[in-house]
Amino acid sequence: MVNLEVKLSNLRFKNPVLVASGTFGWGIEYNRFFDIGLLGGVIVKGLSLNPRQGNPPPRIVETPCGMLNSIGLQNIGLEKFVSEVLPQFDSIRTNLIVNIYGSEIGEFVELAGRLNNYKQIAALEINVSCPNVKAGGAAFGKDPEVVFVLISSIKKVCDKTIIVKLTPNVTDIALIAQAAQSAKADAVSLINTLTGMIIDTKTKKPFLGNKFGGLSGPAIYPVGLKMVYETYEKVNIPIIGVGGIYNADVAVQYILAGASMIQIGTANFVEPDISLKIIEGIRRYLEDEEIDDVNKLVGLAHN
Amino acid sequence: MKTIVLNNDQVAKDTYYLQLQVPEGFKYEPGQFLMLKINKLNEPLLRRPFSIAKVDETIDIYYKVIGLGTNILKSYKKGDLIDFTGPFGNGFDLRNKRIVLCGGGIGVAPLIGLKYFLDSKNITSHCFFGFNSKEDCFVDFGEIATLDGSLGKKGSVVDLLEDLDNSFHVYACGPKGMLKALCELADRKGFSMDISLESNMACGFGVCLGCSINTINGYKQVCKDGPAFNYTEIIW
Repeated sequence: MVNLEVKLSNLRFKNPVLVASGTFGWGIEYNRFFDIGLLGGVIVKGLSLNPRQGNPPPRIVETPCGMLNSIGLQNIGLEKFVSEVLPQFDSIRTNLIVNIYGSEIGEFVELAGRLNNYKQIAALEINVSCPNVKAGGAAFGKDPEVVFVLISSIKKVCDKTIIVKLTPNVTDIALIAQAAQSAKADAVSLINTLTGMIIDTKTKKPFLGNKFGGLSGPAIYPVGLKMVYETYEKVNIPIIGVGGIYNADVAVQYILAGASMIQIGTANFVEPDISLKIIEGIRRYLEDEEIDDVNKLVGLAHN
Repeated sequence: MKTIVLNNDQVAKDTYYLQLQVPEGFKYEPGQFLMLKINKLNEPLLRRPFSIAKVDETIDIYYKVIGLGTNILKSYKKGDLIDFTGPFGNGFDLRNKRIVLCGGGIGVAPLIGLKYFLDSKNITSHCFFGFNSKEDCFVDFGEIATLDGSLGKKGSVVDLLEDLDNSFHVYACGPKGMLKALCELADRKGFSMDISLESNMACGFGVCLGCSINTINGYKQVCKDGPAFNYTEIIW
């Protein structure tokens, strides 16, 4: 038997496979397809203090081997999340990670402080990387000083595991990861979507209601992989690899590049139970390679 | 989940009739849709939503070949396995009024199932279907209008509904221009109406939030809140 268990700060994960924020709803929607308790963890969609309506439609369009979205962090807000979603996690045996978003630092801090009270939540993923919102989001994640101040402030009010989700739309992503590490983040997850656009040649206008969107799906995995590889050489905190993972082979590549855990994103839409197949695929890879522990795989692609 | 293709034949210009084996335990309400995975590779990446025309001994789907996905779909042969998720969405909300079904082009498809269902309950319905031309028509019942006059009455199917009053309820599906014209007619004539909408969607079951439409109650998801909506809700 190979060991798939992974530790991140003081948390134990039964396997290194998480599902990415924004691609897994509030988690419970996927229970119709499989027992989500089998996952290493579930990262629910970006939550803000107050409900957000999101961006105007159309919001998604397919691209070669990928998709562009401009959802704009539509969500039900803290109050409804706490009353309607959280209780359902009492009986789900996996780690619940809440991805949080604020349009200003104070909003992030208030949200983190209030979520700190709920035992169902294992960790927070701080979204400083959403490309589809005007304030906060990727604008925060592009500035290492802002990331430092934001994460330091959150750490003062929240003792849960803090993961910082980074944007690839920067010159040097490792620099931002270092800022997160300096602020005592427990881990970084990278990458969020790459910004892009589609123009409708019939209307001669941008296709998406918000003009620009975030590119995800298999098309972006070489970009994410390279950024995980680079960041692994610059930080000592765990990296969670995300970006275009659609099978176990790509997941293993991320781990070899330096990711301690991985997140499945867009592929969840296409094959709702893909994350289970990827867990099994990682297990089979380890058996075939006669490696008894997934943790021994992390960063092996580096000299 | 996978099922077997039983039939996939062309029935009108660029229009195909796909019949799938009904998997055990499959339950459906008229108005729902399936997400079909058309390619095992990554392009096209996303599943495609198709309204279910009817389910009895087979799951029946009509589709129009438009892009990459439907071009691949038409190559499926009898005996091939096809991967689907669903059925998703809500069924049509049935009203106790005089019922009219109004479809345009491939939008006729979900109304076929509704007609079949109403007939099975001995509920009378009147069907009006519109196509660009005779060669686009894939139904053999109902009153037909064609834009070029090659079959039925010349003009838009909307013109066929001029005589309706507020005693009627219309279920409609079709291109955006047709639906907008129907909404204006409904406002003038006072009949009530549910319209089945389509949208780009990644998941089909309410998690990607990609298929939002603008309504008087804020954004709603076509896949989860629809695909049929009361017409008065829609902000065009």
